[in-house]
Amino acid sequence: MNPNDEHPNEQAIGIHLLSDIHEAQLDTLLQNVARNEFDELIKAGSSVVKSANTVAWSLNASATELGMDLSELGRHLRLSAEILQKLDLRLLRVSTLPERLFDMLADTLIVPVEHIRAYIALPPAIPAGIRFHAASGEPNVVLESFEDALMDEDEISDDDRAYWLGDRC
Amino acid sequence: MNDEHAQNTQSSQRAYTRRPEVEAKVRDLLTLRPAQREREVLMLCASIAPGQRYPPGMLEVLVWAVRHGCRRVSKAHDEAAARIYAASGVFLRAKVRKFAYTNVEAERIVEETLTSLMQHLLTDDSTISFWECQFLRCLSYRFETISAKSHVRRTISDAASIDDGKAPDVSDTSIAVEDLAMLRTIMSELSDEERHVMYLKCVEQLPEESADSSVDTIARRVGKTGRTVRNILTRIRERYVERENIQ
Repeated sequence: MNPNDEHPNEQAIGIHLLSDIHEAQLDTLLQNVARNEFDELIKAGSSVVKSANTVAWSLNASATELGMDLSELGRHLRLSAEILQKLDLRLLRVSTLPERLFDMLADTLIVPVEHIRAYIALPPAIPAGIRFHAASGEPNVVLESFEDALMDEDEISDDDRAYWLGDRC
Repeated sequence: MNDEHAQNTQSSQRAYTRRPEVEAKVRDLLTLRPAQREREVLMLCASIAPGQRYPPGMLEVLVWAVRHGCRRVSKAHDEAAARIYAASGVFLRAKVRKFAYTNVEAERIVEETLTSLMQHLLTDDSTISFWECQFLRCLSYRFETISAKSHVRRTISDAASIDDGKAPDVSDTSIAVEDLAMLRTIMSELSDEERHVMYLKCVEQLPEESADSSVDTIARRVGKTGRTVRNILTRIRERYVERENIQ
């Protein structure tokens, strides 16, 4: 084909120009797009992001990335570093954890609450120095309730204990 | 692909730079502590929503946030990526309607372009990418590459019969008639040099330039620098955009 033809390959050039995208168009489209169509796209995008996320994560690592250690995170949550350490190792029974703990962790760490739930629901991590059953080879991990962990904790004030347990303490 | 060059600046000897408004926003965000930065990114995400004016350069800022500015596991990372996906989806759907693809093929092209975009966004890579500099142009290139592979096309006149459930006629004329008319007007106004550059870019599909001297490029063919070639292409595009806005 000769480039000096009057209409050199309209198909190829048309695709090149017509597929070009500019911000004024985006502005118009976003102003006119239906809310439900946009929400559907957000949902689809979130699902792609979640399925792609395989990064190793922990409460401690997440806090560290924000410049906090577990003690500082504990101050935000009115919990001790030791309880947060147990939570991070999934040594507390999930069914005993209050709903607002997940929400507060998500707010403080700025992490999706579903991610925190999924992480806490994983099997317990094996803490250093743990004993193993001789017969089964399984680690001898004893899970504790959130309430017991708070009651046994010396580093937590009565106010903070009452904040979490109410009149159960 | 230009974004691939951007990720491999050593081989292409070319470093992409962000647009000034994007660079300024990125610098502002970098001065913040990580938690503040992520909260700010979440605020920025809210500006890409139905009924809102699109702040120029915001998608580039969000690409930076996803790739470099936010922790991989964070609300800001996920929200920014989802907003980029949604805004791109809105735009690609509008764009693909300009071509006479079957509904199924149009959806496939949009999906494939979005998948390609997300693969780039969510891949660990510390280098600056062209998506952070010219997001919409990158999206356009991806769309162009993916749609050009499609052979299931139809003319506008075929559309009614396909949507009525009749067998589609496959046609090589995939551009809507009104766009074709505008395209012919633009083509007739091109100088010889511009016409030649467009021919090499769109028909021969040569790269604008290359650090590899064995690669045939538009710059070599027309005896200009890569930058000049890109300027010529940008000028033609701008002329098209002006005309489209008038229409």
